[in-house]
Amino acid sequence: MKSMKELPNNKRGKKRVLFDKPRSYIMGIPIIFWLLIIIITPVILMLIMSFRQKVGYDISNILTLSNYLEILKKPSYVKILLRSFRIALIASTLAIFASYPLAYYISRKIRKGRHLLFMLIIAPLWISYLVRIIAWRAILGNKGLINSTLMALGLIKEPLSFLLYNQFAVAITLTYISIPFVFIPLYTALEKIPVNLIDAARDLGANEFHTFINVILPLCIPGLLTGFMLAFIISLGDYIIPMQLGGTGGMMLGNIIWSQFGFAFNWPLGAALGFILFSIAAVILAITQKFGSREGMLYE
Amino acid sequence: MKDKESKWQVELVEVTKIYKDTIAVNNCNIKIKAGEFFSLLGPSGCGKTTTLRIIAGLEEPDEGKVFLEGRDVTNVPAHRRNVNTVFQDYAIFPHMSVYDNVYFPLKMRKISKKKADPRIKRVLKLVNLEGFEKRYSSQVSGGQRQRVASARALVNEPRVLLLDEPLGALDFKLRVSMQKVLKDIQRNLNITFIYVTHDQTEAITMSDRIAVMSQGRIHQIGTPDEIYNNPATAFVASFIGEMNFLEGLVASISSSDTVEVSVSNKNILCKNNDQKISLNDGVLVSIRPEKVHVNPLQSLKNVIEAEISRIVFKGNNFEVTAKFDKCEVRSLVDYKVWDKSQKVGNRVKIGWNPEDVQVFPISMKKDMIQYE
Repeated sequence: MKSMKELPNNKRGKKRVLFDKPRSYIMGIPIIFWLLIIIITPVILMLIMSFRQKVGYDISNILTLSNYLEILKKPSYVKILLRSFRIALIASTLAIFASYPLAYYISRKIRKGRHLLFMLIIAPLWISYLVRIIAWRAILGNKGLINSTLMALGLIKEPLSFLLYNQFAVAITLTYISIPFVFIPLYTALEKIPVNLIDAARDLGANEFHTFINVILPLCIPGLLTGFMLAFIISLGDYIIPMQLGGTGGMMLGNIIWSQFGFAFNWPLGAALGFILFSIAAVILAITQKFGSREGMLYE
Repeated sequence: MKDKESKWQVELVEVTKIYKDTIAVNNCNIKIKAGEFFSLLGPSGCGKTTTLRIIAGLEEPDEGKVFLEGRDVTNVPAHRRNVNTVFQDYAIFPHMSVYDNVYFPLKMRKISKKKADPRIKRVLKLVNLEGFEKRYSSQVSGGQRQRVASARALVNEPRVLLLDEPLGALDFKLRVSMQKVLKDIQRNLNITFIYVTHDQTEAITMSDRIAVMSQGRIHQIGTPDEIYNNPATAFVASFIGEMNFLEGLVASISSSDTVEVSVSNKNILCKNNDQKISLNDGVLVSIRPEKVHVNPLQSLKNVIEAEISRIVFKGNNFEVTAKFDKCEVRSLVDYKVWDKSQKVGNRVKIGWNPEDVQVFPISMKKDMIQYE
């Protein structure tokens, strides 16, 4: 009996051994079982649901592609899908740009009080999601912080109406919500970079800028991608922020899914939309995984 | 102002570096000639790495000045000094191939890859790393990583190469062969090497001169011969090689070249090595085991009676410990010379030449390496 399975030599030139003891198989069973219950089964159920069809107030058992065809045929669905994609992209990019300097300075420049600052940045996570969204309404609204300040300064006579109930408000709030999720992997990646690599770069003639471009930035790409991915997935599927701050023009895919399940009772269509969202997230995840673990990038 | 044609390539003048509450480097003066293999030797935490980092420009001294080829570089940052460092754990960029690691310093000088290529190939050949260009640091062995680090530091053709325990992480056999490689590179390229190590054998076999450091202070700077045979302090005597230490009182300073010390009522003649001692002072006497003769055939100026308390076979020689009163003296006797019929408890004569015996004030005892 073969208890050891040898994989072909990988690129690092070392032999990889999978399951060196037969017992390892048994150890893996609970995990597989767990994954089956909490992840694989629900996804499969959703997939099956997306192929069924709403007939009156009932859902037929006949499998059909009609839900997907309906989504593709209706320009408003495609438009909202693209809009969701765009808003998520903008929000996660902005979150990266906002988090990077924070993570860089806290992890590499500050010596005292580093942990306190770290806690301060992730502190919003302890406050209710909904409260933070309502807070943004108070900031962006007609009588909100920005408008009342500008009016008190006499810079504007009428409140600026473009601040709230549109895609801008949604993108800003999604950015804000994503920042801690981007900050944590970025901070971890930056903090992990050994000081002696920075010393070596300086010693070999690199000034601070070149050290950053050639050493620090490439070494934190895995963290950067993880942060981007988290922000993107959080933003793409969100429906509370567009509902509270988006108005009619700021609706996202999450809102439609929600309404299919909540109002229209068209679960199959909702499931189809949900599955599209899930597939996009899975593709993004796969891409970031591929780039995140590029050869030679990670430490042994 | 220093004149441009200073004969010293590297000069540290009264350099002091303080971290919080410890003095890492305490008022150090070092002068290093061009083309010299200079070692900073000392136990861990003695300040040798900090001294090296000050020369590299990675640390700024709190006091004192650093000169490179007569130019004051105390405030010049690391990336603008013409010195390169081989770091202790190599500090190879993990996201770059071996080739790109070596290209890095040239890239920083804005030399195109095309122009740099022959130089990179030459230096990789020098360290025997041809064929490894495309590998990443995680794909090469420890010894190869060491050579990548050396190649990367050498490709810029620095006037001074700083090496921070470059062989510390390698096993013994590899270390010995790499010592040869490094020494050959140093000789062939005629570069000044400043070599940090805690390994006294490495320092003694490779260096032109050694600075022995302890607790931030330089105890002695000299050739390996001087350091070994004429240690300036008890610390140097205890740190380098094997040493017998005996405590006694100065009985007489009879002439300019010998000092007589009374150890347990026995008189031991020592070389007068210009220590600040006077009559009846407590002193430490040190003799290397290989300078102690048991039942000497030749006549020695200083012979005392003792009893063998231990005999240890060490391969090519025997370590014989002889005891007189409460003092123990170890002696290394060549295998061929040793009388194998000798047993523990036998009375023997032990002797030495006064030139081989050093004397230090007892106050130096606190600096010594204490072995358990």
